[in-house]
Amino acid sequence: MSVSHPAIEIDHLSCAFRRSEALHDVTLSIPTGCVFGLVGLNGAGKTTLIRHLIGGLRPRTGRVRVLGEDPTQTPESVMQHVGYVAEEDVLPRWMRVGELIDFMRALYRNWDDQLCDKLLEQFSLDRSTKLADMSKGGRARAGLLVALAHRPQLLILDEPSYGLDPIARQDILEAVVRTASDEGRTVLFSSHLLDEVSRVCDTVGVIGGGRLLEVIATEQLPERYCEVVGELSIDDLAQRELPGFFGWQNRGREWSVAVDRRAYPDEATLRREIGGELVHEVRPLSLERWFSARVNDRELATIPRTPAVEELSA
Amino acid sequence: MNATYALTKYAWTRYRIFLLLLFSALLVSAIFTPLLWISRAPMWLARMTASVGYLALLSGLFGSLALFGFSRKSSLLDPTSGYDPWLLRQPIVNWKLAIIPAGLITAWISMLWAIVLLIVQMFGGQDIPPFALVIVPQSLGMSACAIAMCSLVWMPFRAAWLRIALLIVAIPMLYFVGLGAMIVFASIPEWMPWAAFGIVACYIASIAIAYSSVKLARVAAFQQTDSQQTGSQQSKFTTAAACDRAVAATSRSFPGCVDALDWYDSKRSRATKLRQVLMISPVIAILIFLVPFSSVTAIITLMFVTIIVGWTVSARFEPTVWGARSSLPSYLIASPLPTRTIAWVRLRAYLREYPAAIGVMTLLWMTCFIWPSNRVAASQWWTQLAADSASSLTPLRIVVAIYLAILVTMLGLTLRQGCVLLRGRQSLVLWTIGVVCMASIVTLISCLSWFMQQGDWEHVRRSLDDWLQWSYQLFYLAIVAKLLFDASVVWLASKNMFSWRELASGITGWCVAVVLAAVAWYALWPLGGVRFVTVLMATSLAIPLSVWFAGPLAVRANRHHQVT
Repeated sequence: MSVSHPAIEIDHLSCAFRRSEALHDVTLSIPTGCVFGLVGLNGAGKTTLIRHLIGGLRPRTGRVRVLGEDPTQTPESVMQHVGYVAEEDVLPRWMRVGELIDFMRALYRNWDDQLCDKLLEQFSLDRSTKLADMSKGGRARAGLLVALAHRPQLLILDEPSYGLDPIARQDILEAVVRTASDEGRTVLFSSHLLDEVSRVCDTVGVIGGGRLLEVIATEQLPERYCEVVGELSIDDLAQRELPGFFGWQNRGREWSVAVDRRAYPDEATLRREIGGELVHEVRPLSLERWFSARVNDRELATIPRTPAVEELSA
Repeated sequence: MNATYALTKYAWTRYRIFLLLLFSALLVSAIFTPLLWISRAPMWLARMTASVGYLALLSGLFGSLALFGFSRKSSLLDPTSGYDPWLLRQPIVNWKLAIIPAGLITAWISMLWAIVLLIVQMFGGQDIPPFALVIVPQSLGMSACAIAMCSLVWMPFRAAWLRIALLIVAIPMLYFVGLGAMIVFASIPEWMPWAAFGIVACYIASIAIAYSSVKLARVAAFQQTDSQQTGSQQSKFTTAAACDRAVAATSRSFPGCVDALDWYDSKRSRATKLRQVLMISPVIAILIFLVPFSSVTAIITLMFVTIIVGWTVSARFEPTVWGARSSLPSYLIASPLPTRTIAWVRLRAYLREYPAAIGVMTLLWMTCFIWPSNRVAASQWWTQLAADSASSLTPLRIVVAIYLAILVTMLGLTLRQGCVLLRGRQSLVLWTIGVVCMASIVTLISCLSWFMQQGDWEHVRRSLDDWLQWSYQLFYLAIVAKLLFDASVVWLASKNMFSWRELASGITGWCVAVVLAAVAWYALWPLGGVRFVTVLMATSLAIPLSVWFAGPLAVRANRHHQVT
């Protein structure tokens, strides 16, 4: 498998289930060695996108390449190098942990027995325990173990820590970090728990309503965006259509807005444009605030703009 | 909204699709049967329409357990209670949780039974006086049986086998008690008061059992939660010691991915198979009791049992189909297993069930020969056959030929059914199973109803010969249809997955299998008048070809869903 390709290439991918559009013209390229966080609300299209990556859905419009190959055309070759942890609790419950390991070991050429034993110990898993008798966190650890033990070039985690206790979440994050620390390995991590994403991911993409709204490196976020907090009446706000402003939020008369710094050469210009005396604070934009701003902006863009909506957005 | 209304609505909401289908079938049958009768349409068509309604009624009667049993249990092997755990957590008192399903079952059975008796009275010319006096006790009797069955499912047990054992004992017992009560009401008027008293007593007892089952289920549900928590705490301390033992005990090394998948597929379906065997064993037990009555009932029993066993093997309900996006779990979708390996290993797993199925059938056939009358009838039958065919036809050759025919037919049926299951589309699987079941049951009932009316064996034979001559047209039509279908599948496979070389080797293998089976069949049982070409064509019809290419295509479509 060539490493000259990006780990994941998605080109103008669209997908609709009956009448609802799950993905709309998504284009994304994730380079090898990247830890990519895919964030979005429930039903935003994260799982649909991931199902395309593992070959579970065949693209009708657009193109998907994983490690340089089409996962629906050559799954046996692509999936040898992909580790996948599903959102659902899907492992066969009638199996014991040992049986699951033995079964998966037979499928992967690069299975690493030493790593497997190490992970068994780390995750406190017992080979003789039936998966049906384990807790949800235990099954998630077992799923993670079999996804990691063949040392995949690409690890795809679809909301792996959803509904798990903090210890299990910690195990998963450590696994992501360890995989990423190996040279040339890529991780795609889908979640709506932003603290996790901010801790482990070097690039984040936000998806909303089936559209990839933005992709940004986490270290670039404070340089690129800032948050302005100030005081303004609703009527004044409705009249302001300033470039680079998005994601308005307010509590009473105090409001906050995310601002793209590229539209303003410096902070003084920015304050002047808004009306300097009204601005309380200009601070770096956090990942949470950036996410909510992008998602809210997208939600409002789909609703016809009426005075009531203006008020809502304010 | 009170609890009674809520639970009734719950039953309706959960099963409305089945109820609507049932009512639609009844309505269609009720409207079209008299119309067909009046319009001088072919009699078989009118009878068929009436049979559809009657079958819908019977299935509604038998299905009352599932419809109003409030059970969410997928396996009877689970020792915990089968009552819907979500309902057990609701603030509804125990007696309502027991009485409301019981009341619904009683109302449902009474309604359907009244319709059945009305139909019998109106069209069958049977007079059933006094009507209400018959319906009420009989409905109560049947409801008591149904409620008792539900109670066994709701009751939590310490060991799963106890529930199964009780069900196996209870189903034939309840069947005979119910049958006895109906016969008493229909034919022995002087016993009627005692029978009525017994039925009412049984009904009250079944409600009491249902109440205690629900009560125990509720208690067990909460106790179980506590004990599970305690167990999980304790298990942390014993993990290290258990781990060392387990590594030695459970670690295995598969030579390759095919072996691993093979092991997975056979073990995965073990619970399903066991459940199916447990489900059909009471039915077979009931049928076996009918065997000694006469040689005709023996033949009917054998036909029923063979079909039930065959259907059980072929109509497999894959647990992952229901409610899932795909019948393949994501760890298989995302595995590096080749698609055709998944398909062929799964098809091979279906074929592995043949020895067990054939063994069960052999056992059942041999059971029939315990009774001397059946032995005599069988001896006369093959003597006659040997005389007709003017050849040295021994019983062994007849049996081997019949077994070969059954094997070939079941092979085809199972693999085709397996192929549909591999596609994993829920609606397709449901429709296929529904159509196949309906077609089989209607054909079977039509044949049996005709067969039971015949008194002259010679006439039966002549009719069979006539039918065979006529069916040749259909036979050739089926051959042409099969060739066309196979050609289209091969063409599709060549476009998508297989090289022409692979296709050619597959077709050659199929041709060899067909010729060998046909030669064996013809050599075993050279019936007078039947040519080798006919046997060859029948064999080619029964042995599937397209499955070997359609199976991987189905898995591919299942694995990589195409959306709009």
